[in-house]
This record gives sequence, structure tokens and C-alpha cells, in this order.
Amino acid sequence: MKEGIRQSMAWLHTWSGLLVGWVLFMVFAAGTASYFRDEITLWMKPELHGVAHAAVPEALAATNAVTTLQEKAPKSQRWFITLPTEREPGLRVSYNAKPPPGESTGRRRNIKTLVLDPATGAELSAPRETRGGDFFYRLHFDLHYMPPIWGRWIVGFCAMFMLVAILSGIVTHKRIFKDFFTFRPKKGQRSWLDFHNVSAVLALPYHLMITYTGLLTLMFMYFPQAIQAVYPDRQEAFFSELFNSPPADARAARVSAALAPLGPMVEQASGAWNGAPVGRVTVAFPNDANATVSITQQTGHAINYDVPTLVFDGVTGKLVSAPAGHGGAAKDTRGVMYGLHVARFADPFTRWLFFACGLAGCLMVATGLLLWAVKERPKHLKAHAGRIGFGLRLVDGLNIGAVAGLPLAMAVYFWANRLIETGIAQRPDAEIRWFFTAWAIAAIAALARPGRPMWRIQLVIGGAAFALLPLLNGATGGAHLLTSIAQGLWPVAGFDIVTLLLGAFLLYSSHYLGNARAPKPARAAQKTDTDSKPELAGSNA
Amino acid sequence: MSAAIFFTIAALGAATAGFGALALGMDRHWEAIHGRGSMPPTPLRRMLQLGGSIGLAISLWCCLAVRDTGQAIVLWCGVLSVGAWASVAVLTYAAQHARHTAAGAAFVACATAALAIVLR
Repeated sequence: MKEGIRQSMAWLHTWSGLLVGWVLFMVFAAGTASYFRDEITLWMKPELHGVAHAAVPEALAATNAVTTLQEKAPKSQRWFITLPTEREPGLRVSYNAKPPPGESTGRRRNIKTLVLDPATGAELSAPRETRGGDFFYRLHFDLHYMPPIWGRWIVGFCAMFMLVAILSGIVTHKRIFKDFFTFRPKKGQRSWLDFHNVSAVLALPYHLMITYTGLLTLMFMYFPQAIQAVYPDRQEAFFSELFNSPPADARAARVSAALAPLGPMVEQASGAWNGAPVGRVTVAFPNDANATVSITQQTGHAINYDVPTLVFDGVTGKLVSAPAGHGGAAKDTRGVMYGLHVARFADPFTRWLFFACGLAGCLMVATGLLLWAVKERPKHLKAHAGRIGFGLRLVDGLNIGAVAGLPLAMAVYFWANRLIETGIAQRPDAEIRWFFTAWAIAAIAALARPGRPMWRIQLVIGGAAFALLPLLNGATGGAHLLTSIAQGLWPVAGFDIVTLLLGAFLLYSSHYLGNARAPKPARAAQKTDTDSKPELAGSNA
Repeated sequence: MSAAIFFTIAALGAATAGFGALALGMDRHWEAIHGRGSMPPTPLRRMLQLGGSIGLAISLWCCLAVRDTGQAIVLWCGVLSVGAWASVAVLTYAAQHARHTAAGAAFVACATAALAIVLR
């Protein structure tokens, strides 16, 4: 019976992992990059590398933001002010711009964002337009080129199977503790399996946590039944209570009234939180009699992502609603789960640990995908007299397109960021188009000729593109490694060092494949696994 | 601040040393060093297992010294993963030096933990 369960779990593990693996690899890679969203965005705006920042009092920064917003968008429906943090030294302000004619309202693209100098409120030399790291962040749950709702359902479906794959993998793995520290390189299929185990088991708490909490981040969408039961046709009311935000059906009074100064409100809020810094200020209906100011604490001081918000009357400056001390156990649980996933609480060292575990997750998915092909190949060679069947060929092609093609596309995205001229219309979209074009070419090429040479070509191109990014950075107006390290500009230096290491790793992988003699079909057809070379795709493509 | 850095280094060192000791107490990794068919004597195996467990506990204690409980456990999980990978790397590519690396990591852990306690 036990054997039966293990067998069936092995089957479940194989198929639940394989069929969604290519999407999961992208989700893991883009999600891992998202831990350094702000740093990636900063790197992609070289105009900001030279801006030195002294700490500016929050009340002053907020006041400066309002001054600029009053000039830019006095009639806007909403202003969003994000105060500077250690990771993002600029003062970010956004406002609802009038949608261009013929566009529906309320779309994300009608929000205009500016970066200001917190000390003066002056617009920083308008950096190039880019989605920066936010592109990867959105990509990992919204996908792209489709309505976000579809993307979220697809990613949620894949994440659910990821959870199934992890749990069935634990059951299938007979010797978790026996093989705990075991990695036997250069032994073909055994090496792939060892690596798969080591990357999975040694970061198992992380993999389970990130998959489960990832599903929870979108739980209101996946499981709306509970909300519908209690708040029939008033979902907005639920969220407004949950996050202590002004009611969604609030309307402007269309009577103008001066906005009260923000400085005292910011100080009052920070005081109410025992000096914890303010993160975001949202002004609804500025310069209107119904104006409200919501002040939210800066995230990153506790795991719980739900940070307290205070709402002030925008005209009188008086506190309107303070959150009830505790939202209850359910709300706290969700907040902690959400917070664990996005890791905004993490100090730099913990963030690096998350990043390392995320990379391990990428390697786990990649080796899992490769294992299927490595295991399948001898069977094919046996059954089809050395001919590779359609299924295996397809998997080989998809593996190359995902595992080697995606890093290549990411590197191309960074190159596009520096090489597309600044100031053209729709510039962020152009960068993203380059990413998908590169990925599409890589995937089509991989499907057309899945084989070891294709692995090597894509790994070399991706590796070189990554490894040369630090040079590109210096050559196109960014702070190159010598200056960034000298000035302590660690976000930029860190980006360059990580891309250098990633590039070196990809180049080494390609070099390694070149050294390995392709196993001869006749040898591979034997059941023995004595071939000391890695059996990647394409021994005879 | 500096105490926190030393505690963090100590946590990493203790996790690496702890996992190294636990691995050396296993037949497969013992064989890789002492040759096929040899086994660690039972008392030594017990010592390695006990020492390894203590190492992991010390790394948890170091994490608790720099963060509140919730964040400390998150930090500890990450530290354990990195320590375990470090042990795997040594056992795979430098098995002959596994004992010395584990001892070295243990020494670093003790020294930095002591320094951190003094600075705290």
C-alpha cells in the first residue's frame, strides 16, 4: 500500500510539476527579481544615480509634495505621496490625470508619477520613463498582454499546482534525511535529481511559504464567496473597512475649499505610532470641501503587511477615524501571510536570504523540468530506434525557451532600457516589447531546433548580455562600479555585481555543456546510467 | 548595530558548523572522507549529532538576539538554508576538508557570538 501511495505521488509530482513548470519558472524568476524592485528601478534610471540625499524631515517632504501637486494637478481626484525611504531616496508623487479622450477612466495608465527632490519639491531631472522593477513585479502575477484578471487566474492555477507538486514531492522523496547533504556531480540523471533535491529540500520552508502565501495574496479574488455572503453587492464596503480607507463611493462636493497643511497631520500620525515613520499619504479630492487625507505608516517595521492608517479631514485637518486597535486574528493572519510573501519588512540581509532562496526556487523548477526530459530520453531512444518523439522534442524546446530564454530576455530588457532613446512616446512599452520580442525569438528558435547547441547559444548570449551590463551602465550615464562602490551607492553597485555573477554563471553553464561529450545514442539506449556527462537535450539533434 | 552584525555572522557560522557536524555523523559522508565501508564509532556519532543540534540551536539563539521572535524565525530559516548549502558545497567539492571547515565555522561562530555578547 505504501509503495502504491508513493508511486501515485511520484506520478502526480511529475505531471503537476511539468505541465505548469514553464510558467512557474517565469513566476519564480520575476518574483525573485521583485525583491529588489526598487533597486532595479533605480538602476534603470541612471539620471538619478548622481542625486545625493540627506535625510529630510517627513513633514517638510510632505509639504513640498503638496506645493508641487498644487501646481501640477490642483483639480485631480486623488494625489498619492510616497515619502522617501532608505531604499528609495526620491519623493514620489502620483495623481489621477485626465484620461485621454476615448479611454475608460480608472485605468492604471491614467496615473501620472513624478519623482521630486524631498528637500525642495523640485522635479528631479526627469528620469527616463521606464516601468523598471515594477514590470517584473506585475509580470509575476498579472502576466502581460492580457487583462490582469486572466493573468491572476492563470498564475493562481499554476501556483495551486506548485503547492501540489511540493507536497507530492515530499511524499515521493524516499530519503529526505539520508540524501539531505548529497550532491553527486557528473553522474547524469543522478546529478540532476540530487541538485533538484538539494535546491528544494534545503529551502523547503521558503518554497512552501512563498507558494502558499502567494495564493493568499489574491485570496479575495480566488475566493470571493465569503465576502459576498456577508457584504452582498457591497464588496467595496468590505475593503474600505478592512483597510480603513475612505468609502469607495465617496464623491467630491464640487465646492472648493483650501486644503489644510499636511505637515501637522504627518507629525500627528507619526506621534500616534510612537515615532514610526510615515510611508504614504493619499489625498482624496484635494481643494474640495470633501477632501480627506489618509496617512499610512511606512511598511517594513513588522512582518504584518497591514500597516495602520489614520484618516484626516482635508479641510479642518482633524482626525476623522483612527483604526480600531486590532482588526482581529483573521485580519492579522492575512496581514502576516501577505507580509511574508512580499518581504517588505526585511532588512537588507534578510532580503538577500529571500533572494537566495528565490534563486534556489528557480533552480528547483529548472532542474525539475530538465529531469523529465533526461528521464524520458532513454525510453525514446529505445522505443523509437533513436528517433526523438514529438512530446520529448516539445518539452526540450519549451525547457530551452524558458530556462535559457527567460534570462536572456531579462538581460535584453535592461539593455533596451539603456539603448532606447529617452523622451520618445510610450517608452516603457518599447522596453517591454523588447523583452517579449527577445523571449519570443528565443522560444521559437528553441522549439525549431531543440538541442545542445541551442542550449549553449542561448546561455552564451544571455550570459554575455548579463555580464556586460555593468559596462553598459557606466557607458550610458549610470554610476559604474568604481564610483558606486566609492560613493556607497549600494543599490546600483549591488545590481551590477549580481548581474555580473548571473552572467558568469550562465556563461559557465554553457561552457560546461560544451565540455560534456554528447552521449552516444547506443550508450544512452542502455539502461545503465554510467555516462559521466550531463544528458541535456540534443545528443543527436 | 555592530553587535547585530556579529550575531548574524555567528548565526551563519553556527548553522554551517551544525549542519557540517550532522553530515559527518552520517555514514555516506563519513565514507567519503575515511574510505568505503568505514563507519564513525557510535560515541563519536552521538557527539557529532549532539554537537550539530546544539549548533543549529545556537544559530536560532543568535537570530533571536537581533530580531523579535517572528522575524527571528524567518531569518533563521534563511540562515539554515544558506548554512546547509555551504555544507553541501564543502562535502561535494572538498570532502577532505569538511572536518576543518566545520571546526572553522564553529570557531568563527563562538568568537563572533562572544564578541557580540560583549558589545551588546
